[in-house]
Amino acid sequence: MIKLNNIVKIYNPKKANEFKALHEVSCEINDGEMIAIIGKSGAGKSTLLHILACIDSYQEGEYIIDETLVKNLSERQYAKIRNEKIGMVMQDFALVEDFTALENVMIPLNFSKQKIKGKKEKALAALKSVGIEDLAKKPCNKLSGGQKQRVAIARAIVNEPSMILADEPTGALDSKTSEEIMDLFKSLNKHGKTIVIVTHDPKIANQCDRIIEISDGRILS
Amino acid sequence: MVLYSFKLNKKFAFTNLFVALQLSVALILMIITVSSIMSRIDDYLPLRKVLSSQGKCVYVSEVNYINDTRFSFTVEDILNAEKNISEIYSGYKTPLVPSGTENYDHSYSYSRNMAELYTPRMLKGKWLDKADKDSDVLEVVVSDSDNYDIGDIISFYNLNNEEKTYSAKVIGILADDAKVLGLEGSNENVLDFRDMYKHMESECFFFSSEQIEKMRIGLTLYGQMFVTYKNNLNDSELLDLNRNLYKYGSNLGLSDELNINSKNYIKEDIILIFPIALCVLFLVVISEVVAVSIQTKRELKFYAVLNICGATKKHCIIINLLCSLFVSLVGIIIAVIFVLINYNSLSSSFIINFDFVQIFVCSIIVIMNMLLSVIIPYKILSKKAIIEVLKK
Ligand SMILES: Nc1ncnc2c1ncn2[C@@H]1O[C@H](COP(=O)(O)OP(=O)(O)O)[C@@H](O)[C@H]1O
Ligand SMILES: [Mg+2]
Repeated sequence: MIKLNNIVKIYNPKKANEFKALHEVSCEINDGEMIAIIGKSGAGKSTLLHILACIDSYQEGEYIIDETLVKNLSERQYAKIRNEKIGMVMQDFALVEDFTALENVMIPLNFSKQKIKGKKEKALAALKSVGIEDLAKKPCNKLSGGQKQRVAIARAIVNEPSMILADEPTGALDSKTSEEIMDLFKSLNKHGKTIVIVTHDPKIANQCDRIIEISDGRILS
Repeated sequence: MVLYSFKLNKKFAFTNLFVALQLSVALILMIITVSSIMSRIDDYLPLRKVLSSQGKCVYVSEVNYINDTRFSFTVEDILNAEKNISEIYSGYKTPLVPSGTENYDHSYSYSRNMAELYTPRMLKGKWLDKADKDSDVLEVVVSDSDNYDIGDIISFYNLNNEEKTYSAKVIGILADDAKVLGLEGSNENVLDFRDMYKHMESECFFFSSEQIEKMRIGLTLYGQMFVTYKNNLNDSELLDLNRNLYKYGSNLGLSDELNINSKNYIKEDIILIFPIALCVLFLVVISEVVAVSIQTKRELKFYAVLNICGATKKHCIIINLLCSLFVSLVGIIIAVIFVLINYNSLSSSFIINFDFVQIFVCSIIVIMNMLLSVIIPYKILSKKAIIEVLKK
């Protein structure tokens, strides 16, 4: 369960190029929901997602994830949340291009605080669940866009986080591949994962349980 | 993390090889400069004690003639005559000649204190200071490694009494480039400690003076003799002693003068070499800064990816550090290989020694490298949120 209370995000605070990207944003996301965040380019969708993903900070308000207040934590604590509770999928895949698919998927396991047995088997299982276990040994720069995004999703789920955050996951893909990726998200959602997808494509948004629209750093609905 | 740093290294193998090479060049340069400073100091240090006390360096030639009469002094003669002398350090000639040869004039000995002052570079075995005072057989150190080995027995006859022969056991062999102290065969101007050493050109034999005396073979004072004076002499006693010493040979200089000259020579050397060493250090710092910055910046996206997967900045810095550690290791290995090769084959082309000082200086360079490869990534990664890297 996720709660945002009056989140304010200011880029470059107290500088000439100060910019308020989020204005007192509040919302709740329940476990197991599949949510779309939509809005025009520059509306603040990515900013919101980055805050949810604990890779960016905010100035005011509260972000609560499973009863933990995510504010002024140490870098290690942030890293732990990213590692254990959140799976991140980016538009440009954010893969290490010269690593193989398997090596990419193993990254979260290698930074886990817990002792994980059978890392390789776990990573292979994640690749299998996104349907590309046969590509495990291939370097990512030899994969197609759709395949890369599957690797990214496998990496997002390998540590079994409760929430997957995706920033325009289909933005760089053709419509057929986009459909396949959406099907993957939907099936993950069926298995109980909370899914938040940032998109500006209504076709994608309409496949979700709920739509949050952002405009100029404010939530409209 | 070791794995990731290894992968980074593989990716940047080419540039990193050059970083490693420049580190090894820096290490080698440092070893050479430090060695050349140390080698000079090494020759001075044995003489420091003698040159720092009040005294004089006297050149004693083998034979003295007064009114066409040939005679020579012994240390006892001098000590008996000059009550204000504290100690005499001297070399000797002995009349021993290898049997079956006419190889005269190549047998030397040292007073024990002189033998203890300086141990020449040995190829094998021990120097005279470790000779057995009470031994019943003669022990000899030879300068020729081709014809003799440790434990060999060499037979000698006495030039003054050819009937008498002696067996001597080889206990040490000098290195080819060994210098010995005080046997300079001339009385030219002696300016500093350099003039008190001599390379032995031909086959030479060095005996323990105690053993020679015990067997009554005969010792003749020879070469540079260091005389130290008793403390607290008044001016007139000093003047007398300085003057009296002319009786025993040509006077080469007062210890203080020689000491000052020696120190100046070393200082000159350090003043010349120190800026070079500093420049090397400076170059190492600059190129390390550049190399680490470039590598960190090139890998920012990699670190950003690790970051969203749960890595902290610390993890990234450690990966970077391990990377540099590996590169430094390669650099060190290259330098060590160079030093070893040099030791074995080109030993005369560079002065290279590997001692504590060299290890210390090299450690400083390596530690500096390590520090830089922590500080620079830290600065770069701290400058802005890692997420900004992914936005572009
Ligand atoms: N690092 C930054 N510094 C200043 N302004 C930023 C920064 N990142 C984003 N912004 C601004 O914040 C606003 C929201 O950006 P973003 O959340 O990326 O929008 P989008 O909805 O397109 O994902 C944009 O106007 C953008 O220019
Ligand atoms: Mg965006």
